[in-house]
Amino acid sequence: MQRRQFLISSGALLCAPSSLFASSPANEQASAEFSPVLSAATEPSGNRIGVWRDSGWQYSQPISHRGHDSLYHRRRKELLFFSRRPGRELYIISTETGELQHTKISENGYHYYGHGCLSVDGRYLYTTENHVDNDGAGCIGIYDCEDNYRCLGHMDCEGIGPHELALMPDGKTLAIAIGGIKTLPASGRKTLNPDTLAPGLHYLDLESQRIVEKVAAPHFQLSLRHLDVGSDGSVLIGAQFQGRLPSEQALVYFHRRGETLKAMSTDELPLRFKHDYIASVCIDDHNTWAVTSCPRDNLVCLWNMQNQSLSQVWSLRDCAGAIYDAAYQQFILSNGDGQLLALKPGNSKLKLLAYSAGTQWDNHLSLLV
Amino acid sequence: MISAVMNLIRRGHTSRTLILACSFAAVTACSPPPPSAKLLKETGELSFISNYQDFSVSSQQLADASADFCQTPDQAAKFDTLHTKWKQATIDWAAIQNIQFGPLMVDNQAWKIQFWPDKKNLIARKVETLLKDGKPITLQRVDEASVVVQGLSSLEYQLFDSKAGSQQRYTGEAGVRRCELLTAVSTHLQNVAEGLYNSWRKDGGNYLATFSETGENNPEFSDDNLAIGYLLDTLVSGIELIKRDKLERPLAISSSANNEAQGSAPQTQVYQLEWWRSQYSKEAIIANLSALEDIFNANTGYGLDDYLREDKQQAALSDKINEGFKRCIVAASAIDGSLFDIANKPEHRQVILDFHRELSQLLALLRNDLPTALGVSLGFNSKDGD
Repeated sequence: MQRRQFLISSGALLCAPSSLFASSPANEQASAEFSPVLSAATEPSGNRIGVWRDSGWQYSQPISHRGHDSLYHRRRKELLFFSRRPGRELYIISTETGELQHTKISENGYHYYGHGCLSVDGRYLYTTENHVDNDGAGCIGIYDCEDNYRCLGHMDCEGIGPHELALMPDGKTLAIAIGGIKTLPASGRKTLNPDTLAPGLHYLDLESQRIVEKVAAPHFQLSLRHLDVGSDGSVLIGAQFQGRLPSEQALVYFHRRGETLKAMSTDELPLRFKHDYIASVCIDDHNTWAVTSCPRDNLVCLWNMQNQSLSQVWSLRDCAGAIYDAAYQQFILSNGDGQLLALKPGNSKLKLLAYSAGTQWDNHLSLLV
Repeated sequence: MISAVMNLIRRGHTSRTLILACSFAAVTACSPPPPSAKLLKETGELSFISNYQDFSVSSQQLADASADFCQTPDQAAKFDTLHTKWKQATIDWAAIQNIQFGPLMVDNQAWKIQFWPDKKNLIARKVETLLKDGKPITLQRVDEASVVVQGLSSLEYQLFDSKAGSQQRYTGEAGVRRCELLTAVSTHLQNVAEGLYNSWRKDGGNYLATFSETGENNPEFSDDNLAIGYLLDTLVSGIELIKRDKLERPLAISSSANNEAQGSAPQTQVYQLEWWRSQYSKEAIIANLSALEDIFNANTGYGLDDYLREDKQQAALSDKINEGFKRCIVAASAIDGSLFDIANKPEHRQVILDFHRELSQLLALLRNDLPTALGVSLGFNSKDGD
């Protein structure tokens, strides 16, 4: 959307909308309006992971602490759920039975950071990990999905606190968001290196198992945590500032291999973050739009990937997960208020898809498609 | 419901069905709404709508005063009236500035009303550029232009800037174009304010119903607690905005401590004060506080104060919060002079720090105690995501 168009569409208020949200009463959701999603959640009964379809859990499992990201291994008909740091569990659930098949515990001296991705052929799983026994060095674990997720080893990612990672379209390179934050289980989630963070975006060549490109964050306290990779090789990355707030740093960056990190433009719109915290980052299938959630500022931002600028902003309490649902040409959002909502670029309103009182959706969503 | 029962009678249903239907009718007709529903309804009707209406009315008066002044721009009294009307609209805007949900957040209408802080002096630059380009200045042009030239901030520059805001600039041939911009921006603001009010009104967009009649058919709030969560956010972020953006950052106050190092002058940034050109920062802050207090109490209706006291058995907290609002307003009112004027005068520093301390104490109540008492989370992912 061009800037002019955005401003005109913002003038739509004069038409006096009846509500912020498109009218789709929750009880009229007999037919599916979104693809089933995988997510971790916290409910009054405890922490849970599973698949939410239409208006309820299709299946779910209790887990002992909070989960984080997840992914669907289509070929193996398995769901993988990663523990939130400093958890050591990787849960593997069968999509056919909904049963927990296996809990893979990280190797001794390592813990997961909560994210992972698969190789092109689905044979290998790559996870971001903390090599606790090596003074908190960051690394990428390699697992053989066809051998009961046996750990095949770890690759050095040349940075502390790798967080989200994704496979580049070449199928040979991983893009890794390096948060820079050193933590050790003995001191919980406390940042041990507040003055010497070295966050960045690192690219790892899977064949040589070496870092082939490093892009430093524009500020040493700008922890780069979440990213998504478009099918055209563009990388969008979201930051969380670790210093005095607000930092007034740009929080969302665009990158292409070989180029410098470019801050996404907010034009002159005074998009003011108070808490400088991006949770989920998601690019659509056509590399046209991207969404970032900012739970601490209760904001969802829609970005135009073509001109790398801000297009639209919504207020949404404690918004967390964001995933592109190609079948319905919409982004699905989740929040700590138990809501799943649809964001369709071009629509001025978000649309409520499902609500579960007491369910607090955790930071990330993935799709069962 | 009554006609449904009559239909049952006509169709000769069994007496048992009839009794069930009647008792259901009685329950539906007689049960009072739960306290949470009463809270939302009265807060919406007595506080929110009323504040939007005030802003709509004062924006209308500001637009009228602009048009009136531009008929005879050499009359000083009319320029004074215009200043007064801008101040009233700004005070009324302060009453809704902190609302964290609803039509105000659709495409961020707030940006069209206020552009602040303006660190790069964009308002002056963009307004002057628009004045110089020679193309006709119309309402549509203002609507399609950058938000920087719209709203109260642009009008503040046009009316209060030490150069651009002088009355002489509006007189003579050169003043015609400034008057065109002044009236177009005022009218645009009036449209935005009226649009917001209309979208809340029962006979307009009726956002009041969305906010206060929660449930499965509600497109936004499936239950009362979701809506109460946004009320809570409004209070917390309102006090946060005053404390941090309106005081700490422009006046170089440390967020946590009052024990400032003696001797070295604080590095203030007075041009980051809200409404520095009109030197109206303090008044807007007091209006913010009064509005937040009004929201907490649903004006004279059944507000969070009563809900805490009666439904949550938290009378002490309810009183402490109300006391906190009062102490903040007293402390802000004790500041002598405009913040812009006194920012760098050491003899005024302590009064400002006293006010800051009151804000911190109120914020702690709202952020730590109120969510627990209401049983509403201030944020799950926001608290500790990853």
